[in-house]
Order: sequence, then structure tokens, then C-alpha cells
Amino acid sequence: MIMFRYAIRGLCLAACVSAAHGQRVADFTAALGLAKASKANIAVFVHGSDWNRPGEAAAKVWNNPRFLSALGAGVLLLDMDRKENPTAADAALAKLNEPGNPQLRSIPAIALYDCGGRLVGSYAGTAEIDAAGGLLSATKKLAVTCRERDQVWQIASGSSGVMKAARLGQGLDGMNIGLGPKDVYKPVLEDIRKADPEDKSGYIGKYTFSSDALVGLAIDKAEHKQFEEADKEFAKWDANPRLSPRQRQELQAARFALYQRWPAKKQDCKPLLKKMRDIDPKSELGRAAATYLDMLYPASKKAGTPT
Amino acid sequence: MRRSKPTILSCLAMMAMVLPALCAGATGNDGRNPAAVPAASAAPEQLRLALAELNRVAGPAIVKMSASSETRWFMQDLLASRDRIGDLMLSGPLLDPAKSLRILAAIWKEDPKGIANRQEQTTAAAVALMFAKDGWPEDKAFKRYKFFRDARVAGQLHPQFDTFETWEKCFVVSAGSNGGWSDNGGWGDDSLVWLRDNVKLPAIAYLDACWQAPYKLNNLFGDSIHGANYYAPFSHEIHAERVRDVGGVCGSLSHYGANAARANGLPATTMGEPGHCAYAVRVARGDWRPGYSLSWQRGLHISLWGSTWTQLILQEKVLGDRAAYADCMAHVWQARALKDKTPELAEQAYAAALEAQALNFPVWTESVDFLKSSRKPTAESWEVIGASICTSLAAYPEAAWDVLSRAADPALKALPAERRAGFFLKYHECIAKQNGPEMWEYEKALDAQAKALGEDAAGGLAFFEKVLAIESGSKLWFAPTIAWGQKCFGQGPSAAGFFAVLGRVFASASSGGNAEGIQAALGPAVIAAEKAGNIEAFQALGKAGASFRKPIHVATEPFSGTLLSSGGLLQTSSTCQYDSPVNHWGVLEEDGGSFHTDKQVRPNAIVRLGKLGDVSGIVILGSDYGQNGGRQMPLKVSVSPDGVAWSEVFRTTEQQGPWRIPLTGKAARVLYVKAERDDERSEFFHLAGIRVYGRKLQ
Repeated sequence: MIMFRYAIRGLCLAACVSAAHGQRVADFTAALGLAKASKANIAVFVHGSDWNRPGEAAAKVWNNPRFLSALGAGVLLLDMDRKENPTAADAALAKLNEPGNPQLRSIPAIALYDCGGRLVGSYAGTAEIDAAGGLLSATKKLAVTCRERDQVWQIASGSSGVMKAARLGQGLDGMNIGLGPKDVYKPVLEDIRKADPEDKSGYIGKYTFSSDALVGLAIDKAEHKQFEEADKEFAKWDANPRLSPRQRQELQAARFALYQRWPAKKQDCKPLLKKMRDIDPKSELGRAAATYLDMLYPASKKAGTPT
Repeated sequence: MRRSKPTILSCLAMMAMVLPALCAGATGNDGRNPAAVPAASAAPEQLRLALAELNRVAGPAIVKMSASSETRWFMQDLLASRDRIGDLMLSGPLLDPAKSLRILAAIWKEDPKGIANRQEQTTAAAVALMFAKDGWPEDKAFKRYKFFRDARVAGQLHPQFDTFETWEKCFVVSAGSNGGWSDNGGWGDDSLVWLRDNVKLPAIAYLDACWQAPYKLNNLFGDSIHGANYYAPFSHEIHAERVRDVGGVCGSLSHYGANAARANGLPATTMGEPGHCAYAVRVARGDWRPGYSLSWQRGLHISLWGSTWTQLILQEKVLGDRAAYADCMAHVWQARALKDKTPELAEQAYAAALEAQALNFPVWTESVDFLKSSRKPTAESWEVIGASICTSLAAYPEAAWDVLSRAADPALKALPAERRAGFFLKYHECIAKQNGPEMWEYEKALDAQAKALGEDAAGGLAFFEKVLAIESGSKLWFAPTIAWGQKCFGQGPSAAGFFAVLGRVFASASSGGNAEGIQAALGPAVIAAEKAGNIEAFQALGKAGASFRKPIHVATEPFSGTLLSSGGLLQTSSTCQYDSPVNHWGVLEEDGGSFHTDKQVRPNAIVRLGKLGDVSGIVILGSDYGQNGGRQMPLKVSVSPDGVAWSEVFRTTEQQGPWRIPLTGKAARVLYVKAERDDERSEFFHLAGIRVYGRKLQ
């Protein structure tokens, strides 16, 4: 009898698992149940049928049967309709969708969650979706990001020490969403800490780096004439090879904030801006540094002196 | 003095017979606005009156444009179209008709095909009306029109846009900075394109869109927002985009939110508040909501008339009733045409206009100004006029006072001394049971009334007593009336008289020397201020009650930053005989205070902080850690940005306080803090302090 029950349960699970590979689901709660059983990802398409016209054009693509087949196995598709005037049934559905309702800057949007319900990434608004090559391409890119993340985390699970920390960090890097909404990936950071308490990998620094905090430090320490103390802190951060180009640019900018207020170092402001620019000249911050150089030191540009 | 009979009210019945019923809607009945119900038979007369008014205010421009081969056909088309004339003439006051006509003609010329569409006609009219404002460049108007035309055709705008009348579109096409036009590099057309394409949200979500941009006093180079270099290094970015990327403070964030809504076709405006910039979005017809707003003291940057929140709400009522508005304005145009030569008939026409639409604030002010200057009403007439104003606009106490104040000077001059106070008391009778759309500068109105009456201190106190007696039954105006009395009479030689008034009105003390009686009188006022959410009255009464408070100095180690709770408002879920409301004020301050609820399930105290802030920590002080300490357990503390959505940040069953709650990085945007007992017992709840510390976000 017990054997029979196990057999039935096994068949049900198998049915779930096979169904979970490439299928549409009604709500996020149900999707999460299926995803956990089948290790599938959940792709959420957010639109608003009663107010968001660009979303309706995208919805036609999303709801085309070929969209699901083009994605292949391992992804559950959820259509999340954020109506302005929901019916009682819509409101009940929205409640079930709450755990997978991402904070979005623009709609329509596509978001991918892993089988644990953690956000992997999103494209918000037609501009971002179009830049990613359209809805299908954007969804595929997110799925690839998740797969690659899981692969390096799989390797991490068989590693230890700095190697493990580096692999875990690489997984976070791939998603490029920091520690995620509501610090959902903080446990990963804790795992990095455990594996590499001295932060030889640099990933603890990378995922605790705060541009705002460093600018605040520069201003605060300068006010108290504790310039050297702040500079030491910046030097410590500068030694971290793991910082992203943007973080390194932000670090130079924060140091610039300190040097601007430090009479003895004022002459070093210009090299800092150059360094910031040269880290990635085409980036937003690289261009900002170049503009600021031109603004603050126009004479050298006019004279044609090499910068 | 010349007598002017019949008065406005006595004219009303006669007017109904004299004037034709001009109740035609201004716009075509194309199904866009169910309120617009044009009466075909009345249309020609209404059009005739509208054209006469347009000719009166823009005659030379019409003549010139009709004579020019470039604009002749435009002018012919316009003057023949009831819809298009309605767009111009029935969308609020016409600021610069000649400029509006020039803009409209230019759009007609540039886009003859597009303008054949009724949707584009109303967009063009809205652009012509808004760009006619001072400082708005005429030559940039077409680009703004084109933006909304193209976005609408491409399905990029919120569907509400397609349902809008011209006056509603005025709040959309006026995107810019502080109510002015803004070029690229600021909140110009390039920002509108970017916001349209990158911030598309349900209407109500635009109220939070401002937070897409981080609040930062200093940019990443350490440059202050108050200097010139905050955004300068980011000149390669569109302004809206760099606000999102670089950050900003209240002004930038509110413009981001408001312009995002407008770029997507929804009405919005930024607005000034004391030391702050907020914004408002119209999420549905008749439903304006404030965003990032920290005060009721709002100065609208875009408005069809006036600049207060009351006027914004009133505009919805007045312009939203298309038939009544068109009818009213037809009478007004007639009055304007008649007032120089036959003021008697003009008076009748104004009366008919107000009969057609009693809430039409601009018509009230125009009528009163006309009566003042041309008709010189008698004392009795002024009393009737005053009563009419108060009755008609009672639901909008601020607007009622704005109109009444225009009449006050001549009315009081005409009235005998013993009837002057009554002119204002009638106003208080009318508003006592009305809440109005929002709090307003009520105390300034009392100041103006007292000043107009010109009484000495004794006379002023007598007026205060009469007003207080009327407003003692008012949910909203009671507390600020006391706060005003306290400010005017609560100190110096008049103080005894002031407290005696309180005692008499509340029948709680026989003289001003009875401290307990006075405290008892202040108590209900404090509770009323709390219930009404009136921070100013709560603060004024709290400070007034200082001499009655027992000092409760409990020194605790503060958290970093400023005391955000200071200057705020405490609202307790109930009060009881053990509660001393004069002590409530100190709960939020480092002086200390107390509150005591009645026995109830889930009692609580909500603090509306003095400043919106990024909270570093909260200190909760108990008033009894001993045998009654258990009443507070389990103690739960929550925070909220809006008083609606709460996040729990602390819970304890340890009844020995004070309780220190570190929150750095966990409560980034807080305006409300709630302390409550979280169980099903029916029991008292009392605390001595809720001190909230952190970094100001305003």
C-alpha cells in the first residue's frame, strides 16, 4: 500500500515536472510551486491591458504559441496584467502574483525569476526591451544569464576558500543587479564571507561598495580636517582589483570630492578626473569626467596640451 | 451713496425670464465627455456671444489675421466652428488671446491635415492657451503640439488623454519647470521624449515615480545641488535621464515625477510647499493626488486660476460641468459687454451667470469686483451678497473666504458697527460643518477678519469668543481657531481674558486663573488638532500648553542625524480620563511628554514626523516600566512613507525600556512611525516618548 502511494506521488511529480518544462502558468504562486519541483525559471511579462498600449503590442508576441516553443524547455511563462481598474478576480490574482511583482521603472517589462523565486534580471519599458533585441531575445538573454550563473555557482559548490568566493561573486556579476531587490542575494554574500573571510577575492568589497557612503566619508572627514584618514580608506578601496569599472570611476570621483576640499591635494584633482575618464572613456561616468575636466581646466584644452 | 436695487439675489428670478437659456455645451457631442450636452437650438446664440467676447478681447488681432492672406482661412475656419471657439473660450481664463490666436494659426499652417482631427484640435488649443503665458516662447509651441500629436497617434500616451477636453490637456502640455517653459538641457521636449519612452506606469504609480531618482544633496563628485556643478559634468545626458542617474533633491525629483506623468499624457503639476517642492498627478477625472507632498501649504505651479489646492479641486468641479460652465460663461460675456454702458443689465447678467454655476470662483470674484466698483451696494445688499458667497462656496471654505475678503472692505464701510462682526460670523456658520478639500490658511483669514473689524483687544477677544462658539462644533476649524486665539491673545495682558473665553466656551472654568480648567479646555483642542491632522494647530497648542506640562526629562542617547519627530504630529487611537493631551506634544521632542489611550484592542500612537527622513534610529520611552509596563507588551513599531503601507521594524515583549531601535539602511523614506500593542487584549496603552532620528529628505 505504501509503495503504491509513493508510486502515485512519483507519477504526479513527474507529470508536474514534465509540464513545468516550457508552459504557461496562471499565477506566480503556482509558478513557484512548479518551478521548485522542476528547477525551471519563471519569466514574467508585465503589462497593463486597460491602459498600456505599447504593452498590448508586446502581449501579442508573448501570447503567440511560437513564443513558448522558441524559448524551449525550462521556462515557465507568466502573464502579469497590472490593470488600473481591476475586477475582484483581478485583485485576487494580483495577490497570488505579489511575490513575483517586480519594482519596475516602466511597463511593459520582462523579468526572470529563478526556481527559488529570486529575481535574476529584467528589462523595463519598450526602450530597454527593444535594445535587447525584442521580447523573445530579452527573455532568452535573461535565461542565459540565469543558466550561466547557476553553472558557476555549481562549480562554486564544489570549491572552497577564495576559489569558491570568486565563483559565487562571478554569479552575482553576471546578473548585474547588486544584491537584488530587498537584498535577496545577501545569503550569497554571506557565503562569500564564510569562504573568504579576509576578502582575498575582493568580492566582499565589491558587493558592499557604496559610492554614496564614500562621497559622504569624503565630505565628513574633510569637514573635520581628517583628510589622511579618508585618503587611507580610499587607498584601501583602490587596492581592490575586483571593483567594476563603474565602481572604480565612482571611487575616483569620491576621492576627487576629498581632494577638492584638501588644500594640500588640490593639484591632484585633475589626474583623478583623467584616471576616472580613462577607466572607460565611453561610459556615462567617463564622459562626465571628460566634461568636468574641460569645465575645470579649460586652459589646457585651448592650448592643445595633451591631457 | 447710490442705492442699487434690485440686488443680485432679487434679480435672479427676473433673469430667468430676461435671458435666453444659453445652456449649450461648448464642445461637439462626440462622446468624449458625457457631461457635455449641447442644446442645438441654443448653439447659435452661445456662439454669437463667444465671438463677441473674443472680438472684445482680441479685436485688432482678429482684424489683422483676417486681412492677411496667410491667416485668413484659418480665421474663417475658426470663427465658424463652435467646437474650436469653445476650445479657446471655455477652457478657463484667456490670458493673452492675441498670442493664443497666433500660436493656433501657426499650428494650423504647419499641420493642416493633422489639425482636421478633433483630438489634435483640442491639443493645439491647449498648447495655444498655455504657451500664451508670459515667458513661454511662441516659436516653440508647434514642437510641443507635435510631441503630443505624434505620441498619441503612435499609441504612446495613456488612454485617458483621448478623453480629455482642452482645459484638461492644459495640465498635460504645460510640462516644464516650476510652471514655466523649459528648454532642452532642462525639462524640455527632449526630456519629455525620454520620460515617455522610459517611464510608463499606471496613472497612480506616477505618484511614486519621483523616487526612481535618488535623493542626494551631493553628486558623486561631492558637488552640492545648491551649486552650479551638480549636473554640469553630465551635460551629455538628457536632463530627465541624468536626474535619474545622478540624483537630486525635492525639486528635481518632483519635476521628474510630474513630467513623467505629463509626457505620458496625464495632467500633473509641480507645486511649492514651505521649504520643499512637491507635485500632483490627476489619476482620474476629478481625482488629483499629491505626490512627495509634505504639507497642505501648496502653491500650484500650473493652474487655470489661483494657486491653492482648493482652487485645483474647484477647477475640476467648475470646468467638469461643461453645460453649466458654458451657460455661466455666456452670461459673463454678456455682462462684460454691458457693464460700461448699462451696468444694471450687467449686474443681472452676472447674477444669471452665478445662478447657472454657483461654484464658478472666477465669476464670483469678477462679479464682486464689478459690484464694488460700479454698483456700490447698500449695507443690506452687502449682507445678502456676503451670505450668498458663503452659502454658495461653503464646501470650499478657502475659496469662500477669498471672495468674501474682496467684499469685506466696502461691506464693512457700509455696515453699521454693530452688524460688522455678523458679516464674518455668517461665514463661520456656513463653513463650520464643512471640511473643504484641504487645510488652508484659515488663521490668516481670522487675522484679516480681526484686522478688518479694527477692534481693540477687548473687541478682538469678543470676536474670538463668538467665532469659537460657532466653530466649537466643527471637526476641522475648532483647533485652529483656538490656536489663532492663543497666538493673538494668549500672552501678555490679554492672556487672562483669552483663558476666560476658553473657560466660558467649554464651561470648564469660571475664570482665567483656573489652570486645571484651562488645561481641560486645551485638551479637546489638542485632540481635535490630532484628529484633523492639523500639524500647525497641534504645534501651536502644544507650545501653548508648555506651562501646564510636568517636565519629563529622560535623557537617552540619540541616534545620528536630527530629531525628525520634532515639529510633527501625534495621533493616538483614543484618549481617556488619564490622558493629558497637553503632554502629547512632548512625546515627539527631547523634553519628553506622555499619552494614555483608553482600554481598547490594538491601541496605537502614530507619529507624523516633522520632516520626511532616512531614519537612523528610533527611541521609544515608556511612562511606566513597573507594574503597568506590561500594558505596552507586545510592543510593535512600524514605519511608513505615506501612513498607508507599514513595515514592521521592531517588536518586543521586554517591558524594561527605553527601547532603542537602530535602523540605518533599513528605513530609507519615512514620514510616519507607529507604536502599538499587538495582541487582542482590551487594555490601556501609554508611552512617554517616540523620538525618531535620521537624515532629512526635504
